[in-house]
Amino acid sequence: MSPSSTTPVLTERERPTWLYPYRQDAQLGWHGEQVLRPLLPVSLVNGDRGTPRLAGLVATGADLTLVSDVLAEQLGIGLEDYEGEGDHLAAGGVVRARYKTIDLRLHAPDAGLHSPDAEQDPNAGQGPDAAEDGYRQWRQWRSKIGFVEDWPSNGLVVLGNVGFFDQFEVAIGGSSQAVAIADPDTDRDAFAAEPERLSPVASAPS
Amino acid sequence: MDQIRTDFTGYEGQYVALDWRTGEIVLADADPQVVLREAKDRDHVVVQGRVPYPDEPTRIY
Repeated sequence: MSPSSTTPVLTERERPTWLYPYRQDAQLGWHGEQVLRPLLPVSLVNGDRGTPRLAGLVATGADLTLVSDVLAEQLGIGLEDYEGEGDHLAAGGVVRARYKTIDLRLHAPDAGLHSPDAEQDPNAGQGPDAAEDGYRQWRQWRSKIGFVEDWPSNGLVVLGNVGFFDQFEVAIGGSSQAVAIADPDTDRDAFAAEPERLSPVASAPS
Repeated sequence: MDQIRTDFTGYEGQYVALDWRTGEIVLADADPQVVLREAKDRDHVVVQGRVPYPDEPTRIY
């Protein structure tokens, strides 16, 4: 059997790419058609407290991951004890976010999405083959995010550059209407091969 | 890739949670805390958010 025909063995450091088809949004489009959006199952975790799974909107234009402050109650955190605050333009208006550092989870597209009670089992976060390949049903990271009062969106979570895109390689397919999530390849600089593309002014003829 | 379709009709103004496998709405309430609390005890359930009324402006997100 040639090396190219073998099934790669995934280690815990080489987790598979997760593929999420777009999901239907609750609003109709401006022509009355159904709207499909890149929504991912995520949750927020604060020690032994956590939110249920939430539909997080992948938003490349958002500088920061922002969530509704109604989630603070689920997490048992008080937003009066924040780590800074700032104004953000969101949905056509200015919102004030209070920043907190917290754990976030992205759940696998084919995960059982079991209830938090099941997660109390230390093995519950792992897939059936966890012992063999280190596969987990979620990817978890810690980041500073913004909790927004008078949240203007219908969804509860907007996944932005800080707190989401800085954690993964993210590919959003317009025609395929799907989102692919992979771990960052720390051994490869994806842009290093064609540096001129990143500096068009410098490479332009004089 | 087949998309999961959801019928949000009749839930306008309420927060809803879906069975993520089927798109079926399994929880709905005007109070988001009720939906968040109830969703925690259910497998395969994801809280989507609030269903807008048809005459609300189309949101960017």
